Amino acid sequence: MITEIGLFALFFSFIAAIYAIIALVYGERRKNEAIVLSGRNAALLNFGLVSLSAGMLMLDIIFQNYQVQYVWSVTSPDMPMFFRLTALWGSQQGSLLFWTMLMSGFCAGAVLLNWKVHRRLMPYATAYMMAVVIFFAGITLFFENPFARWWYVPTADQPFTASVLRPDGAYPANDVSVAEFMSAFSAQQRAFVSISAQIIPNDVALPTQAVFLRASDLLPDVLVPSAMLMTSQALPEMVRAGDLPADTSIPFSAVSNASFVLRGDLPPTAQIAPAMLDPNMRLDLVSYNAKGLNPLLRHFGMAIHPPMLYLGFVGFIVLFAFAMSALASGDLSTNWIKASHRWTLFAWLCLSLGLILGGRWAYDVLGWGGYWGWDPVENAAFLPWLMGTAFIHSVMIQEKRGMLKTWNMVLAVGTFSAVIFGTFATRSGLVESVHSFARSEIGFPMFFFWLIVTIVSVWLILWRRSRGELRDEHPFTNLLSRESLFVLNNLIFMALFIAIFWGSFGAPIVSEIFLDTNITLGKDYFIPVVTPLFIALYLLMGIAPLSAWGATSLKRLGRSVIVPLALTIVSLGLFIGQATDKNGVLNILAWLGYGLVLFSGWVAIYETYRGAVARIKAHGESLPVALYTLLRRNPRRYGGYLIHLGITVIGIGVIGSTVFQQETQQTLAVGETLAIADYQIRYDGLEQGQISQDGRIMDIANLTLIRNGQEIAHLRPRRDFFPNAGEGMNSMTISGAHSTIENDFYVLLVSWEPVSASSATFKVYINPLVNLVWWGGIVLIFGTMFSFFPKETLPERIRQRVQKAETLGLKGVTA
Amino acid sequence: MMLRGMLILLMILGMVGYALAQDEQPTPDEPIIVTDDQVNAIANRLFCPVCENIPLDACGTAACADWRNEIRLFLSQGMTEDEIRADFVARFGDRVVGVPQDPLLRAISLVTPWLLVAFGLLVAGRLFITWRKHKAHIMANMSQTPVATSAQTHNPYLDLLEEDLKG
Repeated sequence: MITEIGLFALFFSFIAAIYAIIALVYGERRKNEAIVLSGRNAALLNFGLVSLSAGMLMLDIIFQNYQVQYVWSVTSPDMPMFFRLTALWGSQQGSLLFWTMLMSGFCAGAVLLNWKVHRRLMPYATAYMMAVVIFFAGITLFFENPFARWWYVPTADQPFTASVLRPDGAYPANDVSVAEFMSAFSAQQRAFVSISAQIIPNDVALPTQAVFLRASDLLPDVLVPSAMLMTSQALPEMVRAGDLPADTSIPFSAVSNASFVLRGDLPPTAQIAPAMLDPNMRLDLVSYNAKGLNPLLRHFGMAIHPPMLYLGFVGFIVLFAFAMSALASGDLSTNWIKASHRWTLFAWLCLSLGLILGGRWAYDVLGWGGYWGWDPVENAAFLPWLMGTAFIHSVMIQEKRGMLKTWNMVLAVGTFSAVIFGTFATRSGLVESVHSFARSEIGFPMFFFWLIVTIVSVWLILWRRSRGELRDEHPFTNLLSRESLFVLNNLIFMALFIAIFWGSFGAPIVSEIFLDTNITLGKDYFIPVVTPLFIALYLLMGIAPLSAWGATSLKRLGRSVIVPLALTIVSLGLFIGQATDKNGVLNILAWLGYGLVLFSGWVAIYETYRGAVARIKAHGESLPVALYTLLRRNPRRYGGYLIHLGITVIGIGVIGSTVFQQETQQTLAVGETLAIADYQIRYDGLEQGQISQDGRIMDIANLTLIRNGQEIAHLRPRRDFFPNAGEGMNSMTISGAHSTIENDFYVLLVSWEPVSASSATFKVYINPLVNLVWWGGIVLIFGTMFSFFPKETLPERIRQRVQKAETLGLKGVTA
Repeated sequence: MMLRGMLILLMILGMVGYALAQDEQPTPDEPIIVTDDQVNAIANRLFCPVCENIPLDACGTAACADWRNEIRLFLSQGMTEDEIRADFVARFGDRVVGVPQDPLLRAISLVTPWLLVAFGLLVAGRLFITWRKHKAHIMANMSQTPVATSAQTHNPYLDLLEEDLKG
């Protein structure tokens, strides 16, 4: 019933969205307020219905309704509740529904908060948002239905999968021959069912830790032709079916649990081998081979990283919708910017947070010692961030000077277009990576949707521009002005966008289509290309805040630079140690890099201080009052400086952890030590086959970290195996790390002697300053939250008094 | 005479140097010891041929372990990094390296973004020039407009700050 409610709610949300568009556009054109309001209400209803649908899917997951294919594929009985909750976005179908719900939520929020203030823009903006929601609800309903049950599609091409878990005692305690085992199945079952069995021995120290059998090897009348017996710890060795002796015995005596997967046309309630089952066992054929969440997603960060990324992605829909509404309605003043400003900032914050958390997740889970691999899917999330950041800067010029109207429209539309493209690239199978969803049928619909959205948007911009409605109110007057520097900043962001887009998608697609060659551009491409651009960006981040609107003289700019430059030079002394490589040689370029990044940070601090001092002199305020007044009067400006400071801290962390990263890999016998920099690690032993609550089997190495002869930490890097994870990723390398402000000592367990564990291979990294990347992220979050604060505005009565006082030349009244 | 002496000395030094250099080379019977770090340094700049976008040194599959062992073998046979990379490209194509080795693909990959950026800069530069043409006109207008800045306060920075704080 829960499932049906979810499915119908999703269907009716789809209908409600269609109705909302028709009512809003028709009502607005006919000036019929009642119809417009009904469209508005339909948009709100849409959110209620999509939320209900997502809630029902969540209930299905919580109550483990394994008849629902999605539930079966992302959860399992032994999965803790925490991961079960995150399973809502753990795979394609659920994440699309979640995405649709968030998008609809943004739409409902915009309707509730902006309707009265921006009445003229709202009907079209809501209609645009609903159009996007319809698309996503549509592909969720018709291509990736999360409520599909196993028995809905039991075709030969897509048979259901069922399983039986044998709890302790359900199978014979002694070993059973294959023939004896299979005799428990009826002739009908044998004819239609192929079986794979996964058996985990009780004694994990045995060389044979997992045995996979396919019954088709064992019985001639079963469908699957091949079979294998997999032995040893990490499922590495396969023995072909033909090598199996006919009288192979299944080692039940060494079995702690086993599952048997059926593939065929039997209904999911079929009884399998009842003679072998404990009669008291409550048999649920489907549940016991549920796959569980993708092992890579079983991390705390996954509870918040995907929702943040999704919020960031879908949040830009409000910006897009208001831009489109302005273009459609002809209200091309700054109203659309004011209406979408906070939504854009919120989306940008979430996307920033999502990217940082994604980096942290990669650092913890992917086991390669880094946090950014220039993977196409990472880049797909970074591209809208770059364009959104360019927009956040450039829109200030339009608000302040009435300039760059066309460009801001291009950025607003481009940001959302980049979101849709990234979604298409990630979910269609266009690119493959550890992050991407499986190849699916939604590729073409999504591509066409992206194309249509982009073409229509660009056409509208060109149309309005051709009518002269996007003409700038002021021309640029000076190259050394804040607006010119912001334009330069935008150019750098666009250059980064182009370079990263080209490396991630452009070059691989062009080479495949026109040259029939697959290529991948990796860090050998990205680092040389993007580094100069980031240098230019940090330089501008330092200089632009010192410039004035309209025009700045070189002399004035030079004077403004003196203090932050002096502070930079002084503080650079502290970074000599951090810019020295393992051979003790100063890396001048990296040191200058630190200097550049520090300069941009000092400028942010100095500008805030300078403003406060100016107020102290002018109004006689104390420092805290002056700072408070500044922050309240323009939270966006000072929140922006805090964000710059966060980016500075991140920049320092990135330089330290990439340029000066040290790594080594060695095999150690128990008791042996490995030396790197001024650290030593000692291998103390291996704990094999630890079984956790969620069913993973962990092999954990015990290491002691020593520095200057002192034991400073015990590290436990490990390898986790997920026996039920099915095909693909079924193991994870979890690092052991000792974190300080100076660096992370990061160890990975690479391999070990399977039986004795007398020796093991470790990969060790020293990642200097890497924690500044995360701390900078926190500063960035605070800065963005600060920018949200409402700007202090004076009541009309007081404002008139102030203006009157100012004209009379009274000092201090404006304070 | 002195010159001849120096030449003889140089020859002797050269011969000694050559002999010492020869001593550093392993004899054919002596296997080259290859460390994991040497293998990883090369594997880090190669992608796994089967799992897209995962560096070979970080890939956990058995196939990648075999390829790493292959790199170890190649290194022990005296192959250079470039030769090993070329071997991988020959077998698996340009997708296993971070930048294609094929000259045409390499040129397309590396030059295109800069061409696009240069084009963007040209357009921007042209726009700036156009804008600057208006400058005289604007300045003339500005000179007629009363400036409400330093007349009221004597701190130009405060004027700019107040202007900024208006948002």
